Amino acid sequence: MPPTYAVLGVLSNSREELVITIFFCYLSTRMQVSIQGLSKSFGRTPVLSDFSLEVADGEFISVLGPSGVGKTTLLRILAGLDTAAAGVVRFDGFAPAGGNEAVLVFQDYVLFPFLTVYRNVAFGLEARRLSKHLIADRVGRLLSHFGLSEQAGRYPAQLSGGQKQRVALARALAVAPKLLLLDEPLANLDKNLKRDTALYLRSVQREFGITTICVTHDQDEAMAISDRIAVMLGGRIAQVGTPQSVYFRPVSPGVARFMGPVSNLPESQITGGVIARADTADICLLRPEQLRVRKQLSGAFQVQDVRLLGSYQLCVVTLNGVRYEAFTSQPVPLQLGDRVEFERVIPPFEEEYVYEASS
Amino acid sequence: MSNRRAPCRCRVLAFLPLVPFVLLMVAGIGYTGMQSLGLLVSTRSSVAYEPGYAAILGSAWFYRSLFYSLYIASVSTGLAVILGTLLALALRRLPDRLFTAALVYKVPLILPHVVIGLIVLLAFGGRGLIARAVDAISFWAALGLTHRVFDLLSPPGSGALIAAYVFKSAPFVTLLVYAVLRRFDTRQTETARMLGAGAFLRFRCLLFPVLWPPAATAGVIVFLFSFGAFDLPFLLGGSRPAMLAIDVFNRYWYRDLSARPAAMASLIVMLAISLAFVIVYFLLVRRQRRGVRHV
Repeated sequence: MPPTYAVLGVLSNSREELVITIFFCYLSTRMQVSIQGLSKSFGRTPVLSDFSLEVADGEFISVLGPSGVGKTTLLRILAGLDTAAAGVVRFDGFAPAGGNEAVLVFQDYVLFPFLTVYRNVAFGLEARRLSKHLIADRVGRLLSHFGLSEQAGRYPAQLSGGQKQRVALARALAVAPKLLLLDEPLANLDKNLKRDTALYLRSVQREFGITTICVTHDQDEAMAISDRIAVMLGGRIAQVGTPQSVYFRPVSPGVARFMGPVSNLPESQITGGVIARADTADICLLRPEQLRVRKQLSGAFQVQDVRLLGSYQLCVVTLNGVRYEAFTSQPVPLQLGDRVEFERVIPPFEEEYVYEASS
Repeated sequence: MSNRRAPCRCRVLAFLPLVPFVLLMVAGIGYTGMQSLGLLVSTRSSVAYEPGYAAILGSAWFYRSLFYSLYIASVSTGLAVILGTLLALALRRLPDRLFTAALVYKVPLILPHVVIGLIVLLAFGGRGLIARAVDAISFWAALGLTHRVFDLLSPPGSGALIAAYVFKSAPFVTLLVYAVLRRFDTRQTETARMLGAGAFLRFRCLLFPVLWPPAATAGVIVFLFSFGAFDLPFLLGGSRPAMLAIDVFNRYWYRDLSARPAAMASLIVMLAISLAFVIVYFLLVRRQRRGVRHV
């Protein structure tokens, strides 16, 4: 039994409560999800094509892809709100029974505007016609767990973005689904709140031990909250792996570019290995963390432009009249016309990853 | 200094377009009130008549008219709100390609009341299309169902009047309700379904709070119109009892000047009932809306 459900249900002091507790413990058993060859089109536009993915019990997996690639459609199919043209979805080896096994939390939470926070969270339990006493008990514990006790009597319009998200999560978890589906869960939050909320989401998922599929177009968000990331390009899965493997060992230039800034530089001019090769011969792709720029009078490259882009620096350089873009994580003061050379470095966390992969 | 005065002046100017409207309303109600008290009844003589309130409030005929008017207005409003709301719900589910064709529901809105009355008369009257069609089928006659059964013009049901009001008002209700329904986020019902809610719970908790304010607003307008209207009752209604507007008309035009205060007193009573109805409506809406805003 997942730890939090145990805590929420252990104080059963009547026969009815005991039965309900057992019921929820049964429901909250984690679930393995298997998606095979899922396809879906809107009119003549294919959205999902031959999409396959395996999700383990209690795993938090993010489906990462650009907007319009079919991520939300995938969640809607898994939630039973839409049907696929082809393909099979199996929960623990069985076809979905339509018994609310999966609950989807929409990007903008879709709280019920005419119900208070308490009634929003209690909604699924009221639908199951549990006794008022039991609903009050369970909702009270959930509100307390999510830090919403003081907001119980408020309406959604009176809540902040973070509070709304917690209400949406509490409402979904109140019915103890086997699969939690999150649609861009951090998209509506400001940058500072995103990191905290990502960590919070992860801790909630671990506490409730619920299998979770999250879709997002934000690489940082996916890397912060996921056990594994499935990169989705062109309606199908391009790569599945841990955040480190997808970031440092992309299987294609497309995945490499989608996962973050990469430098396109001629391999013959770089020392060290490369993470991926571009389609063009001799061009290699390197992450900002893997590249160091150094001012050198005998350097092969000449600086054409330098810009600081938040946590990394962009150098536009030329070599034999050809223009290249290089991203480095360590800013170096450079002037236009400076001669520079690039060196490949291995960040410490990548060494660990290489070690894990080889072992 | 001038900066402080400017907004105040603007506010006063903003009210200017309302002045003729307010003046006309206050003058009209004031004049009606005076006449109901027996004053200013005739512009040619300064004779004061008996106030009309005693005459109408002591008259069983007045009460019959009043309750008949309330009955017609209530039933037609109830039916118009139910049918109009159901039509709006059906329109929301309609595929986009059929929506243009469905706009035909707005036709009764642009038809004059007299035309609506004539349509109902021709369709549902004792010699109307439906009655003739029924007469033409001997099967119905064998069962004893003659055209009399389908004569909606016969009192006491006053079906024709109610049918005309519903035909005219239901599209208006649809218009108001549909405008709100279009903004309703259907993901709310999807979420409720995922949480295990049945159709009734989804309607009660999610759809009804959205539907009822526009439906109630439309209902108030339709009720007030039906309650005080003259044209349709004149065309389709009976005279025993008559709708209040017809009663006022008869007292005002077909009797001598001494009956005018009673006619005007009837109008003041109608106005008081309408105002009370609107106040109760606003109190209910304000209570329901308190603290709730759309997400």
